[in-house]
Amino acid sequence: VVDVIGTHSLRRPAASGADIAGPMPRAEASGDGTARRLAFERLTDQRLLRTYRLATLVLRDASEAEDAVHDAAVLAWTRFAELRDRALFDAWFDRIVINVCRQRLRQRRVRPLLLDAPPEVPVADGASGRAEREALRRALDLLTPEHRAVVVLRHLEGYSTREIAARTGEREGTVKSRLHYALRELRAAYDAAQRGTEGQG
Amino acid sequence: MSDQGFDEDLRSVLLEDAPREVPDDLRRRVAAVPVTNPAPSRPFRPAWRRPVLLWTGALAAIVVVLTVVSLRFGPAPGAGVGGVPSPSSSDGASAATTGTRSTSAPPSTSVSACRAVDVQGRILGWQGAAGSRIADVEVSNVTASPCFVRGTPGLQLVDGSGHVLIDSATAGPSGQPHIRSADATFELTPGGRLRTEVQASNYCGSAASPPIDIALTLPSGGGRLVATPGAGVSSADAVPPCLGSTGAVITMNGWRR
Repeated sequence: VVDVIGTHSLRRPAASGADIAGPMPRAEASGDGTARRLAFERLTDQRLLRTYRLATLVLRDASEAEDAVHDAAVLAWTRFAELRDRALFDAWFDRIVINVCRQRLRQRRVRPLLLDAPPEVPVADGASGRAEREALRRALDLLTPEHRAVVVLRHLEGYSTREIAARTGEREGTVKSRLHYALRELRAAYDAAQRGTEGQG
Repeated sequence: MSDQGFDEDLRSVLLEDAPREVPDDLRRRVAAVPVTNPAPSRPFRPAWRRPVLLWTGALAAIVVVLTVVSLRFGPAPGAGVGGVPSPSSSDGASAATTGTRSTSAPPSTSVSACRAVDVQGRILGWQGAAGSRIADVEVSNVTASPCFVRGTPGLQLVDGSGHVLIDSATAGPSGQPHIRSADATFELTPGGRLRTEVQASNYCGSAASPPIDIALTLPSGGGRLVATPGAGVSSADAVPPCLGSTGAVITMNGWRR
């Protein structure tokens, strides 16, 4: 069973002294529904682009990512009262989105869809060629969603291993291992494409 | 090809594949979630896991034990050491050590709300959390008269040059200084102390100069109080790191003794 919400495991590192109990505003703590709704709306709105971007890259499908983010928002809202420390919202919401994406891919039971080819971007002198980038794109498609998620969180969002662990619900060691494997695969594809380009030259 | 070239190309591919904006339809759907779905509720917990019941039970047990002990071994009822009235509850027992008393009702009319000039603020230490910085803040009554603290102050993270780094008025759920009807009232006798934790995250501004202070603007026009680092407290790691464009946040826990 996938822990889609992951509230408890998100709190686990906090128990080691990295958290404080309940900076939830008093109005919300006392059951003020309006305050809670406004807080939720603001937090999700601030996070929306990043989570939509994350879902798109994990699912490799922008349209399905919209549905995944919406489903994640519904789940987050139904459990929002459990999140006492609002500073953890971003990581908590990211984790819900990632888990919803995993479930969707599991239900799809096929390889993730390939994204539409992006518009051709002019390559500056000295920069890598299109072949290498296309090889990277294909290798990303072939990664599992778990591996793709850690690559996105590290190389696009710039999170540390610890921050990624909080967002994926994995141990830091698992995150490191996944990053290592994923980057090895990506690097192999990249180097192969590069060798091919040099061979043609 | 160097690692740097690989990293740059990988990031470039991710950026190219990532959407640059949220579709309006998705934004509308997410905004409608709290309206079209049932309000969240706290999960069911058995009685033994409910903190309120647990603490109430523990408190009642302590009161019973203290009462029994004082009746059997203590001085005459109502008199403490030297004839001074002894606390009649655990709340009072705690107050004896901190000089504070909390009630849900306002204090007697002779006690007024603490103003910023009545109290002194100190930062007892900084803790780091994932992307956040948390200050342990203490305020103490430095006057010869009791006063009370109630509600949530406005919060600011301020650097050594007086520059406001994060302000709750625009960053975070605490907002402007305010008092709600459910807020507890904490009476501070002379020398009495109160504690709270102030949490700040996601500061993306220019470099801040130490020391880092926390300014609290007391509700009801009580004035602005600046809590400065106590002896031996370093501000070296007090400024929260920039996490991106989601905006800074500064908020606090409720007051406690």
